[in-house]
Amino acid sequence: MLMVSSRQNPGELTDMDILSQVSAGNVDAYGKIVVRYNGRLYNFIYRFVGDRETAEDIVQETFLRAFRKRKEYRAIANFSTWLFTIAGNLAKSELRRRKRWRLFSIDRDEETDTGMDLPDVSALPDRVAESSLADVQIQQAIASLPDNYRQVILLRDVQGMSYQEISEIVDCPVGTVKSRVNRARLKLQQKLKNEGRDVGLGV
Amino acid sequence: MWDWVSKPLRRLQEPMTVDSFSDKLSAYIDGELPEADRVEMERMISESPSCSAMYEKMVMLRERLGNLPELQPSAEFEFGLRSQILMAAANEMRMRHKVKQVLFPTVGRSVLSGAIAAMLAMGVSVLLQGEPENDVTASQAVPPGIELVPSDVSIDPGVMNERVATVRAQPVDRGALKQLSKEESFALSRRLYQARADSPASRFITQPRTRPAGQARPVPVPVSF
Repeated sequence: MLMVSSRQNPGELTDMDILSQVSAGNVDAYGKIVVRYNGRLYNFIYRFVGDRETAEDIVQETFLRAFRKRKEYRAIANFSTWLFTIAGNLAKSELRRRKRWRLFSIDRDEETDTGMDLPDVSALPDRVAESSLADVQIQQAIASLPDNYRQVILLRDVQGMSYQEISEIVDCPVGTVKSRVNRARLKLQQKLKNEGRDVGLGV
Repeated sequence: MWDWVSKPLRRLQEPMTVDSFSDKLSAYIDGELPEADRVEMERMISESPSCSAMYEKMVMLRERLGNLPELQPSAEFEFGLRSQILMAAANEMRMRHKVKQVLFPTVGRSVLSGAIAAMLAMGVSVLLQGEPENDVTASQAVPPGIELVPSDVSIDPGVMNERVATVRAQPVDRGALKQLSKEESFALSRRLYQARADSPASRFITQPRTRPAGQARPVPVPVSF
């Protein structure tokens, strides 16, 4: 039986060991991979797309794709890097799809006045359920960043990845990643300052 | 004259601006700056209140981002993911089974592999033996009672008989006739064919037609109608 409960202890096996077991026919072993990266991936994607349901769908799809393509994975990069690359690409596709939909709905709104309203992200229940209002405000500030900046700052400051890992995930040189992280931090700082939000940053 | 040296030096000695400070602030916090830049950044932080405030805010923001609460997906998420992975694994097994069915449709794998092994063994044995040579069978061998006389091939009869006797003395095995020369074997074959009682040629054994020397070839007489 496949176990994906986060309460299970993943053990001392490396990702490659687990993948070898899965390739040998032990599908249950994939549950250890899921347990190991489930939380990190979900948090990254949730902060990226700003919506729990979409984040769950994307993380599910990420694990499924990794399972289906496990024979294509080569141990050149970390398995976690590979997972975050898949998840990041799926999240970007979702954001692009949303932008297209927004454009479409705005056009319809102008013509027929029956287009859908843009959702008020600040009123989403999962935002309200978060432990601190300051966290919600920071999340909103993150959501306002351009996609490229948002992705790198989440990987760097929220996930704590190295610049090298981030450059592999976003497929950019390390120098570009450093520059993007710096700009993202400055923009985020400026955003919080402009909106006069007291989120414990002294701005 | 020494501008190419003095200009970069002057630039290095120029005080860091707030803009360049903010550009390098992130790298400084992450410990990614070289020693010279790091010293300059520290000087700016200690001397400039605005730079110092910028630095403190950046550090706080970074810490705040790192301490954002970790959210957990719903219970349905785990159940859904588990069932989807099991379905994917089942689909893979089904596909593998289909491929096997296409490759081995009706014959069992053991039967098919046995047949392939037998064919391979046969092929190997044929390769090892090589092509079968022309065997001299008993019917083709020289019967003991037959006197072999060369007919129209100009071979000395004494020599011929000697050669034939030599061959006859040897046990009949493959390649025995090959010991004769081309002319000898030709004559021998011809005589053998004529000597056989069941040969249709035995009825037409005739003396070789000879024309006396000096006699001209007869000219056919034209027939008039």
